[in-house]
Amino acid sequence: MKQKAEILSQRIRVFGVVQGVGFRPFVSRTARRVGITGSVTNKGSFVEIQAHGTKEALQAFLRCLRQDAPERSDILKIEVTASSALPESSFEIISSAKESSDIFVPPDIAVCKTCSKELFDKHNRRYLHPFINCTACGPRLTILDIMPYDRERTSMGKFPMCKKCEQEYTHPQTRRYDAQPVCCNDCGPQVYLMGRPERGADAIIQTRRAIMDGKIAAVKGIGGFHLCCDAKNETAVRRLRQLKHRPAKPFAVMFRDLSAAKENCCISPKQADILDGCQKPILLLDRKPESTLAKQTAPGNPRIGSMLPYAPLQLLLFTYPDGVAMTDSLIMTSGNVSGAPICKCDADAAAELSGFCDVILSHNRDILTRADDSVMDFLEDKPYMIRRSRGYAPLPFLLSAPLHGQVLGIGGELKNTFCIGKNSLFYPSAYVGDMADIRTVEALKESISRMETLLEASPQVVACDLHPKYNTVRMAEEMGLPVMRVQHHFAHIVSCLAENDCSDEVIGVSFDGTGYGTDGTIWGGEFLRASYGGFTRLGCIQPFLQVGGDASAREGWRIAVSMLHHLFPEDTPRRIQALGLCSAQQAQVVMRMADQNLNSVPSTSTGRLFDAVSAILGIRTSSTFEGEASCALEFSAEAYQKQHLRLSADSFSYSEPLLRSTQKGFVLCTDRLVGWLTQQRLAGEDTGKLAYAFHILLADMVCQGCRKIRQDTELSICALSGGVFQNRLLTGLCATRLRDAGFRVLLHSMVPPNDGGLALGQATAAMYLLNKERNDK
Amino acid sequence: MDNTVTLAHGAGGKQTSQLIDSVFKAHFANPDFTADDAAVLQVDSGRLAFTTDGFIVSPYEFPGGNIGKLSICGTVNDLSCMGAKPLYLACSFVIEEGFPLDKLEEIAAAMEKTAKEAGVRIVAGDTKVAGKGQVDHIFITTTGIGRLMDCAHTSGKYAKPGDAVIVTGDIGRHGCAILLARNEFGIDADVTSDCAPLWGTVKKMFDTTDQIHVVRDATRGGVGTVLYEIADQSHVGIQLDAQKIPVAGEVSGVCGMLGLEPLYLACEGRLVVFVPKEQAQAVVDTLHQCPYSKNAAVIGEVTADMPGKVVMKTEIGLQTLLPQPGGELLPRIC
Ligand SMILES: [Fe+3]
Ligand SMILES: [Mg+2]
Ligand SMILES: [Zn+2]
Ligand SMILES: [Zn+2]
Repeated sequence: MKQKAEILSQRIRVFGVVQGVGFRPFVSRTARRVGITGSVTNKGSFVEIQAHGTKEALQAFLRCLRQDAPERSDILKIEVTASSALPESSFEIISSAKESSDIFVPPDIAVCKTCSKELFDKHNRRYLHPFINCTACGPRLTILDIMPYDRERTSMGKFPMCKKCEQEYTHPQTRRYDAQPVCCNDCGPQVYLMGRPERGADAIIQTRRAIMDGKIAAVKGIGGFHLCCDAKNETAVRRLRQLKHRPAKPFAVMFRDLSAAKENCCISPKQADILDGCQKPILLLDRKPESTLAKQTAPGNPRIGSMLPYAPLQLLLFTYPDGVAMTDSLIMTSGNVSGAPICKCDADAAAELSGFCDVILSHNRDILTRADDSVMDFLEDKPYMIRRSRGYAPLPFLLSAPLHGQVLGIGGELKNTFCIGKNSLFYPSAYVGDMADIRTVEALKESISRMETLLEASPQVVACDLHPKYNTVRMAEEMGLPVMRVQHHFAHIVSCLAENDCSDEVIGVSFDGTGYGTDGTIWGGEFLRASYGGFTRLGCIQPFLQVGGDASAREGWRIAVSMLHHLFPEDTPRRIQALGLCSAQQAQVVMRMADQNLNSVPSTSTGRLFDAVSAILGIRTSSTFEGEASCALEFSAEAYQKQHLRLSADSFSYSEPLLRSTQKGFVLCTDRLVGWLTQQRLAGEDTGKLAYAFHILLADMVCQGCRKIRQDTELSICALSGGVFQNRLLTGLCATRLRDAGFRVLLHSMVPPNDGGLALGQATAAMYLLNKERNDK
Repeated sequence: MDNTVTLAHGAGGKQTSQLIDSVFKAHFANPDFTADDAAVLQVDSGRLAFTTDGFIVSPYEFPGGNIGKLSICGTVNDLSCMGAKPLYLACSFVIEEGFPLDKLEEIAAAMEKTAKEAGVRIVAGDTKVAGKGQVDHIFITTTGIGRLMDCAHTSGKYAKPGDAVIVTGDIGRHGCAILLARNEFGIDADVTSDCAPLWGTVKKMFDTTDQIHVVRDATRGGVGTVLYEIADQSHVGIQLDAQKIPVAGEVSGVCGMLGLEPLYLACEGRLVVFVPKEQAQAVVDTLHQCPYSKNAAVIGEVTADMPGKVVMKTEIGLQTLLPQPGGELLPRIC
């Protein structure tokens, strides 16, 4: 006889965006389906479920909670404990006793499949409506003024609904129940050409024609304007480069649909899910050899930043019943002066974009918060964020430690984002931009105050970088709050810890462009013993002289000359000439500057090391955009790796030491490595092979450094962060070696390893200090 | 040994008077030059301007001048910037033992020539000799008195939104010339210092308009430092147009190679002038008639917003915040 299965009781708490998204009805439906009894209730910062059922039923229930959660919800964490509550006979929704105290501001969601279908259905009343949306899709953060998220508090407030829309909006059984931006062809916003009479359909048709005539159009999207042109028209793309003063930095491409993307790029199933998912970030994909995109799209770059249309207006740009034979790929680059914030209103566009484009397609639904497109790479077949913005911001990260207080991390100077921390929740903002431009500084101020309002936050402390010349540091000082300075590379490591919710002490490897160190020199190749509470610097790459200030960040040959000058006191000019780094005079100037200590600062920047190696190997002697030389070095190494899969470090017969001990700890012998690469290159060795060898040997050094720290400290978790770890080859090699050596490796996934992730680290470090001070009292 | 300065030259005895007679009196001779403890001067009624400045420069000779010329220009220009006609100077020398007498002679000659051009009289002096290694060749301190013109009311506090910002010539020459002279980079660049006495220039500007709000000479910290000082003192913002800032080709070439910003290189003959926008063209026209301001230009304007900040519009349309002056990047150039 079959024994009756035992009934277990569990208390399940679900944290995240689970309020106001139909989550409790979903829980109740699921419970009934899999045979669970009990109840669900809204507890404010989480949803609590009492569940009774067999072991199998409970397992199925948990799996369904994760897998089938409503599209607009976002589960951060599920906590399960055994419960002593008595079994019940049915499953009930208990109305909430306590109001929500934690706030989840919804990010923007790409137009959904059902809406896309309606958009092109002649019989639907929203046929070709550029603003179609529903409960499961549409703008959120970018149109939101203050919480709670209701129509009158969005930029849709000024558009009264027509009778039919109102009917849908107020009836729970429709797809548009409570969809704040709902509208149709009879009500709602309208598109138009700026400075011209065309409106509505005419405006769209004119824009399509202009693009197919090889013109450049500015198009207002969800989080700001884009500049766009036909990605298959070489002349148009080249012209856009000239107008935007952007000689080589890759442009993103928007494809009409997944199949158009597949014609041009290699896409794995997981990448396809993200590419066509509800956030629609830009994904960095390998370009297929047969791709017909203009060469100027991403010159010298094997990858294409690709995305699919996420706003209905973008769908209409590709498909419209006007007889225009439209391209299936558009360049979509942010509508701004490179370095300034993306334009979000007509006045900005008129002032800044009219010189870059021939036609401006705008509309009268205001963008209240800018949101640049998110950019994502893939590492070990998982998302690896490069720029976290539209679609993701400002979803919070939840730390499991009980923390109390409110903080602001103001972020770094490049790729700035900021982050508000409220208790255990940390909300990284949308991308703000590079602080070199005063308009970006103003945009940061404006976005901070908007987010403070949305999140009902009033920070007690503002955390910023240590660098004396950062504009963000000055801004932090001017806020009138206590200021906490968080060292740059420590902040990188803390951001990685926070993303992984790891409160252990770790070995932090922070490889980066440049950051200000606690000793007044430039850091960027650091080994830190670190936890949320603080850090000690245990090792770094071999320091070199960074000669020429900011110019050395653009011109890797300067670093190369400085390194060679130090490495080979004899015969330097001959080597420099043989490598073709620069003119004899330029070399002499740099060497004199180093000798006289003029505009020279000791540096352990790994980013500059990459630039120097790129120059020495003859790949790039300088960069027109950040990371150009080091990316080219990575590409060269990857191309070589593809052809020689089974190479190991042994095939390079490298016999130099990897690491040497010093009084304070150790340094990686990166200088010896540079010397060796120089000799090999002068002996005629293949560039790609040396580029690959550099990656392999540097990864060996990283692993060696971590082993040394483990010997001394018994720490066995490694966290990899900093902009250099955007390099997938290096990151992959390091992670593999470290895992093989028995380390647990923490990598980024949804927070960028670059300076876009700094703010989360700053905010977390500040929150911990705040709580420590409180506990100490 | 006869042709260098010795400790005995500074002992106060016979050799000291010989040195003073043969070098300084020979060049500085004028009716007011004193043989007594202090010069006695007759001054008209009115407001006086009074200032002092010490000069240390290595090397003490450079393309376009030497420390003697520099020491007169520095004080004359400080007085001139207040709208004061320079009248009298006193000079104090600290000379390193072993300094060549013929070089001292050249320095004194340069002082004489520059003072004459500026219409100022050297009326008192002092000479000390320091032991080998105690000073770097030669230090000069000059102190000056000038009489303010009645129409002169300029101060770093008086910049107003709507003012035009004028610079009286291409910038950064002095700092660049010194850098090249000092470091032997082997750069083939022919850069001479802009070192010049500017009273004549200032006088002509005041003759053109009496609405001159600010005049500053951009010395050690360069034009950038002056602009930040004024933005701060007047609580205004300053917006520069990078393309309008005059920089000699050689200077921008050298700056490019060294990774330096010309706005932070020293000048010794350049003024930064703030006048109402309406007067700007007339002032620039006047400046173009003067010998040391042939490439004077309007480089920006004063704004009410962003007080205390200097923003530069670049060629590609960026509006960058000019980095704050100071920090360790630049060597100290005087
Ligand atoms: Fe960084
Ligand atoms: Mg002075
Ligand atoms: Zn939809
Ligand atoms: Zn409607």
